Formats: sequence, C-alpha cells, structure tokens
Amino acid sequence: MKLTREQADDCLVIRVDDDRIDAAAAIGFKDAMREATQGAGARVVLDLSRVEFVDSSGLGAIVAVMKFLAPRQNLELAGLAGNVARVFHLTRMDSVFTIHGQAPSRVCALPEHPASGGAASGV
Amino acid sequence: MSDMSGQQPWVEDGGIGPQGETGLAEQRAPVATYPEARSVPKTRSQAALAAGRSGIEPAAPALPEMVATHRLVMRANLCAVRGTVVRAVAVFGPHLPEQALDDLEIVLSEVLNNVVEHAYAGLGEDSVDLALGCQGGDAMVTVSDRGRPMPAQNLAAAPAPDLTLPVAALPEGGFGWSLIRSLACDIQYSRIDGVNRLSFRVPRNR
Repeated sequence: MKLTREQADDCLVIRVDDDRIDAAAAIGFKDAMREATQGAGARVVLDLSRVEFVDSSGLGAIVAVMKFLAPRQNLELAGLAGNVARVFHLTRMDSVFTIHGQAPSRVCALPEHPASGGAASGV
Repeated sequence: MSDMSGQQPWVEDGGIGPQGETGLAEQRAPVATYPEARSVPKTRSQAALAAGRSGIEPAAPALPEMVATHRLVMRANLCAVRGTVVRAVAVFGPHLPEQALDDLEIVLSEVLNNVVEHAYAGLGEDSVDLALGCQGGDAMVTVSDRGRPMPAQNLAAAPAPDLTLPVAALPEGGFGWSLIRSLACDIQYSRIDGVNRLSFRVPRNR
C-alpha cells in the first residue's frame, strides 16, 4: 500500500496512492498506516482523493486505523468521491468521521476567520 | 432497453452466442471439475484476465431467472476478486448507466469477498463461477461455489450498527451485507448438491 506523508501546519496528511482499499489490500493498508502515523501529532488527515474504490473491508480497515490512533490522535478524511463516498454514505460511516472535501494541503491552512486578502482566498 | 442476449456476442471474449452454438451449453459442468484458470481458453483480453485470474467460457445453460450470456470463472482468493469485479463491470459496461455499474462494483465485490472469506475459508483455493446476464435492462448475476453453506441470517435485514458508540467500540466489520441489500434486489440463495448459488439483480435505475 503506497502512502505519501505531508506534514502540514497542525496536521499530518497521509495520501493513499493506490486506487483501491479493498479486502486484498486491507491488512497492508493498516500496517502501512501504523508505520506512517508514527510520531504524528493530534490530527491525522487521510487523503483518499486518489482512491476509486473502498469495499467494506477497506472501510473496516479505516475504522481500525481511527481506533488505534484514538484517543490521542484524531483521524479525519479528505477527498472522498464517487464510489468511495457512496460506501461511506450507505453505511452511514460518513457521520463518524470529520470529512473534508478539499485538497488536504489546504485543510490545515484554513484560518479560523477569513483573512482580509491574500492567503486564504481561492480555497 | 439493453438486451445482451440478442446482440452480437463479445467476439473478443471468445464467442458468447445464443445457447447451443458452442456445443458446450448443454453441459452443466459442476464447479469442482472446472479446469484450472490458466487452461481456460484465453481471448484478446488476456492481460486483464490474467490479472484477475479468471477465464471466459461459453454460457452455461439458461438459469430460470435469466439467460446467462457471460460466464466468468474465478479462483477463490482476494486478489482474483479485484480483477473479476473489474471484468464483470466491463461486461455490463455498454448496457448499464454509470451509477448502476458503480452499484454492481460494490455488490459484486462484497459477494465475492464473502465467498472467499467465509464459504471457502480454510478449505483451500477452489473456483467460483459467475453467470452474468441482462433482464429487463437490469444486471443479473449468479455466483456459485462449493464452499460451506451460507448462514440464513445473511439475507435477513439486520439492525443498523450503533454508530453513536465511542470510537473504541465502533464496528470494523459487518457492513458487507447491508451494502448488498442496499444496492441489489431479488437476492436469492440456494444450496443443491453441495453447490451454493447466490443470485441478485442490480437495477439499471436506482
């Protein structure tokens, strides 16, 4: 399972570079996430924007990651689309996670209040 | 309304054809005597088939509910599930809207995962047979295996998991059947002479 880590302001963004998190990949995904989240701070954002398909095993693996990070760390999700969003919605697991639609590198850069100009615009 | 059975067969798949043309349709070969996936006659889609370790064979005799126009044989392991689902979605590609193909991808992945992980778990890698066809524009699939019987409660609607539980108590499994029931209909299961058959319909319109 290919993952890319990117440290943002106050969170660690982990992007999944495989296009499927399914039963065949679930264990590898959990193992890779354990390794990738070593030493992470309180917020971890899992970027699924390159993932086209997650089945119930993949969903369970993502829940497992959330559980092993808790309580010290929160797992949030970003970039759900298509059939990935559908599976989360059908199972109502989209109510369990904080889900960001936008590109993860901007998730943590969003200020509490919009700036008067410049930096936050266009997000 | 799409009708796969009357169309030119997918020639690139080795000839699906109406019943009887191939001379093999009259035989109902039990799953246990299917040839090894590698020895199944290959087609020009060989690369895709090899990835899923499945083979295309001429249609099995008509099932009561539908005329099967495609048959796939899959080795019962999780890597083969992936390629077989992709292949089955491609079979229905010209005939179903995108949303129905997405639904089929989800349902079939869950059904095949269940066969590998439950029906065959610990029994060794056997093969799984898929019969595909269209009926009234909907996708019809029958999955057959020689594994353990399926527990009857899988077909019954189960109460939804309590997602208000604390994180540590959230379920990591058990979502598969609720996905299948959400997206497929006419789900039927039978077991005859040691063969499990699970059939379902994925409607073209939600």
